[in-house]
Formats: sequence, C-alpha cells, structure tokens
Amino acid sequence: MSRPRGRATSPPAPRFDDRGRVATLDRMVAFVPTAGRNNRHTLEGLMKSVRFALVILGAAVICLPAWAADEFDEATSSVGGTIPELCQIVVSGVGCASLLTLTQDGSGEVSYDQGYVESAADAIILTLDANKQWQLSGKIDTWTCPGTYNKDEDDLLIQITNTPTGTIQNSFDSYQTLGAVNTTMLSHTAGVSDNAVDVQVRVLLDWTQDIPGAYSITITWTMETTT
Amino acid sequence: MDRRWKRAVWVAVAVGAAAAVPARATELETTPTQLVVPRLAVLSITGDVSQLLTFTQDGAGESAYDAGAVESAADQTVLTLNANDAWDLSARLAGNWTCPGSYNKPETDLYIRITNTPTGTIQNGADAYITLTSTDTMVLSHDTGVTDNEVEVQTRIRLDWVQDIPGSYSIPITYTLTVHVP
Repeated sequence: MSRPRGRATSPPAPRFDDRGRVATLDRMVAFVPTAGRNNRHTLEGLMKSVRFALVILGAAVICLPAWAADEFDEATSSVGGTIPELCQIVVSGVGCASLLTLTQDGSGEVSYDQGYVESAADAIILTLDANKQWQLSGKIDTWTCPGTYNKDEDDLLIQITNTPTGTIQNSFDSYQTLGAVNTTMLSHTAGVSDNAVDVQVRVLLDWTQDIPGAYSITITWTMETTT
Repeated sequence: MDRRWKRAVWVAVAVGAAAAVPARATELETTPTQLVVPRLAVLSITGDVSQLLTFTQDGAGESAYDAGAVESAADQTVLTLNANDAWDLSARLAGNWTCPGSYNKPETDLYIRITNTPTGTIQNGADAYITLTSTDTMVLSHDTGVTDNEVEVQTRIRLDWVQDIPGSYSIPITYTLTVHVP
C-alpha cells in the first residue's frame, strides 16, 4: 500500500523546541498530508479559536453553577424535656360517708345483729395513673364518736373486690384493718392508666358498745411511684 | 498702513491666539459591570420546644398524660424564610428519640403543624398535625421569592401513662428551605 502523496513528503523545515523536539504545531503540520505553508496559518487560527472557545467555556463553567444551582438553608430545633415521676389517684363511687346512717326498724337492727354494716363492693373506686412502678397504700385517723365514746379503729375494715392491674399486698383482697401509718394494698412494676380499684368497707357494730350518734373516720389513700 | 492690511494683521493675530489656547479634551470610558446573583436562601428559627416535656408534678404533667398529649403554643416555633426564587420548605427528623433507659419512644409520637397562613401553599396536609420521618417532607412551597415569610409551627407529643417513663427525652427536627428552578 503506497503512502498518500502530497506535500507532506517534503514538509517545510520543522522548528525545534528547547528539548530538541519538533514543535507541536510543526508536528501537526508534518503529520497532516495536505498541510503546508498555506495551511499553517489556518491551523494557527484554528488553535486560537479553540483557545478562545476554551476560555469562554471555562468562564461559563465557573459562573453558570453559581447562578443556576439550587440553594438551601437548614435550621434544627430540638424537641424534648425531662418527664418527672408522675402519678395520680382519683376517688369516685358512692362513697361511705353515710354507711352508719342506719334506719330504725330495718337495716339498723339487722346490721347490729350480724355484727357489721358494709358498703357495696364498689362503693369506693380508686382510679390510678402512674408513669412508672408504683404502690397504693391506705391509712386512717381516729374515729369521731358521740360523747366520750372511743370506737376502736380496728372496727373499720376494707378490701379490694376486683382484680386491678398490680399485685395485691398484705392480703387486701380480703378484709384488713388499717393503721395510722400507710399500709400497702396494691403495687405494680410499671406504669398504669385508668387502673380502677374497687374498695369495699365494713364497720363492725356491737349492741353494747356502739351507742347512737354521729360517727366518722377518714381513710387516706396514697399512691406513690417507687424505685 | 492700509486699513485693509491692518484688518488682516488683526485677524491673523486673533487666529494665532486662538490656536495657542489648548483645546479642551474629553474622553468617555465605560466599564461593563456584570452581576451574577445566585439563588439564595436564608432560614432562621426562633422559639424553644426543647423543654416541652418538662412537666410539673401534681399539675401539668398529670393533665398532659390524661389528655394523651402535650402541645406547644401555636407559635412556639417560628421559621422566617427569605428566598430569591421559587422555594419549598421541608421538615425531617434528624435522629430518633433519645429516651431514658432502654425505652424506645415511637418517632410517630411527634407531630407538627403550621398554624398561621404564611405566603406559600401548604403541602402534605401540614396545616393539620402530621408525623415526620428521617427524609424530608415538604410542608410549604411557593413559586417566587419571599422576604421575612414567617411560618408558625406547633408541636405535639403523644403521651402514654404506661409507656412514657420518667426521664429525659429529645428528638431533633431539621427544617430545610430549598430555592430552586420555578
């Protein structure tokens, strides 16, 4: 295969750079078969145009993103706080304030005969809420009695009649007395919500001791979170 | 000297004097000025909800648990937006709840909503309480720039007596204002 003929076979004398190599443009001229003295000016012009285009392109690359790019800004807000130990107890039900208000020729005599009067099984409803483990306790003060009579505080008994969340303590699923200091009745190892505890109250009666008159005693329920 | 010659001499003198006075030079130059304004976004946040769960005993704490949630004030968080092109506002959870002990409070217990009527279009029902995830949820957008556009955000956290034990809680919400092609 013969090499293409042209002036490339007799190129102008190439220029050499400081390392003795043929200058780039001259190499190009020498390599292009049809290149010659006339075409050299065309190539130089072409390279100038390419350089100019590259400068413009570079400027565009630098400037364009700054104008066209999306921009964003962020801000962060922290939500939270420290939740304290919380619990609450709500007392409802018909209560026992009138438990000893007996009727003559009826419930009064019957109660004395059987030795006690008792409330409905859910006369007192304790509704418990806690956000961690807790316990429920009860205590009483002393009877207020007619005259100088001093009714025994042990004549008051209470019991839990339903099966609320938690573990019965001190056998309060049957009648127990209370003292002047808290006695634990129910406890649980975690929080609870709307935990209803039904409490029944019994007051012992004695024909010979319990004289007519107004009686009262206060039961204090305490719910507390525990460790 | 002839009168004509005198006049000619005076004219010549006048012309010479005029030529001796330097002409006033005037040059105008123009400096081409090109301003390249990029898209700009500035989002600022005010308000503190970092203590929303810090309750008082025998008071707000029990009430909040009974209600099942605690809410911030309607304008407790205020985002102020400035943008010079179309924009959208997004929110995401930048992390999970930090909880006491080993408890893992669900991230869906946190809600936010926009309570005022800022410039823009509410997105994804964010004018009612919505939950957030770890990816951006767009809550507001607009197709032109705005200045000092205040967005009031209310925060709500669900509470459960049984689940939400005492201790310190925190979760970060990141709001992002993005300015983009309309």
